[in-house]
Amino acid sequence: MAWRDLKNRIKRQVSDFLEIPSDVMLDLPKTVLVGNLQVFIENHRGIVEYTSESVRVIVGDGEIGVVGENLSLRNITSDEIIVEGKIKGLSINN
Amino acid sequence: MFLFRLMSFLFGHVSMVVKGETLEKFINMASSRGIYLWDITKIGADKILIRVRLSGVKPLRHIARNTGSRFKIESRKGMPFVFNRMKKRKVLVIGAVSFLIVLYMLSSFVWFIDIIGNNKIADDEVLKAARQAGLTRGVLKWNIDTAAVEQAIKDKLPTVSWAGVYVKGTRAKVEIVEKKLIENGAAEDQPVHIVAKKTGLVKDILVLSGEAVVKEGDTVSAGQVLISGEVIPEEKPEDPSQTEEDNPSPIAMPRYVHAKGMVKARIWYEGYGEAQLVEEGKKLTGRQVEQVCMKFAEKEIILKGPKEIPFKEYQTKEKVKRIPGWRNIQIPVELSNVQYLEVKNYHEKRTLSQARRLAEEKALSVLRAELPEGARIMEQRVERIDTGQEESLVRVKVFVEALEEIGKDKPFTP
Repeated sequence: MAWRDLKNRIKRQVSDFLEIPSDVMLDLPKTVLVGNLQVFIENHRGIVEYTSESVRVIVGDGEIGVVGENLSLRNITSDEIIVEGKIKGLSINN
Repeated sequence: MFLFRLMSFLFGHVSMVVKGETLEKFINMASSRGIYLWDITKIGADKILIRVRLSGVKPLRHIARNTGSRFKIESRKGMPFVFNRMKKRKVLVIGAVSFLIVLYMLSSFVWFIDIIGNNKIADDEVLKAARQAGLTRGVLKWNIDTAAVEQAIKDKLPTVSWAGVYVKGTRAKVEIVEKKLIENGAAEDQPVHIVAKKTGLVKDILVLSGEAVVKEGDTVSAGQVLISGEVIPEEKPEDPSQTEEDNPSPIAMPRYVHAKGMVKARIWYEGYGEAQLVEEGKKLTGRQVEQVCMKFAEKEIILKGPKEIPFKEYQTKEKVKRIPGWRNIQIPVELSNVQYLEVKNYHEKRTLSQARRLAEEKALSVLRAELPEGARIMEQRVERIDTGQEESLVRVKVFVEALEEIGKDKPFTP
């Protein structure tokens, strides 16, 4: 793990220095929340749970959870998910 | 987004209900295989509704088998399904297509020809000239060579100085500019007298050619010769003996010319007008309603406008459009556009001077219609006619003295 952390740290420093967006460099998810209506999650690795109250998506090494009411997946492609509905919470678990 | 919707409409998409225990796995597998899913909604504990393109349905079957889920197609949308439905209703398709073809064909003919700008030339003459160049009712509009038609109209009708032909839709517009001809009937070399048009007092006379017969201050009557085209050479009084010998009758050899000149005369006009002191009648109030009706034989259908006319008294103006009959066939359909104009009784009292002024105006307007163009009013006098008895009518006579040109060409044969 220590080796991987070091690698990540170097990568981050490089990306900071070169001003490359870190989601590209570090393969991190990019999450955009539009009001409480929509969540765009880019760079995902698939969904773990989908009900109308909660959606959980695997990203990189962690997971992003969306809770709300009447959630629906507007769009799902191999790298982007759009969740629509009344969004109440967004959590990131590493 | 619009483009996406258009594409999914063109290629067809279905919405299906997927039932299974591991729906998340189903979605993940689909998306990782590049099958595009959208509008995923949970409709039950183990049921989701998804939309997928037609091309993705077959691979989904594999995924469903692998994940142990089943799907059922709920609805189909898009062009492929529309085509399938159309295959079952061929006659409808034929009808729709033939409708479009007929519409296109009918709109490729010229059905109306409008002629504008002609004052003296009759419409028929222009139409005849246009027909010879290929523009007539019912001709295909691509076959019209507008430049050729323009040229033909100009060639056939010498009084046209410019012609423009435009085809717009099924309507051909022929625009014409006429030459302004100088109104002088007689040819330049024909002997002409100038005679009086009207009775009047000669005020001014200017002779350009010919011989003046009247002079300023003369009273002339209509038809009287003012400037004669017959010029009698003057006898030379110095040597009457010589002329008698060489030319025994010089008076018998007058010259005949085309008389030219201007004769201005004072002309008197008289106009009469009257006005009621108390006037009653009906006049329009300005309020109106419009009713558009369609008639089928006996039945009448109101397309637009009120059923009942909201006015107590009204006048009507009706415009009826009928389908032109062909041979003995009359189509019993007509469209009528009726305008109802409200009228109201009015009662107007005038004082004597108001009535007099009104009568005077009426008399003057009658006079003005009589006055030729270019006439100048020199004097104007108003006289009230008194009939001697008490009446509610003011009668007025207006006398006007105008200065105008009274000369008129009159050809003669010597």
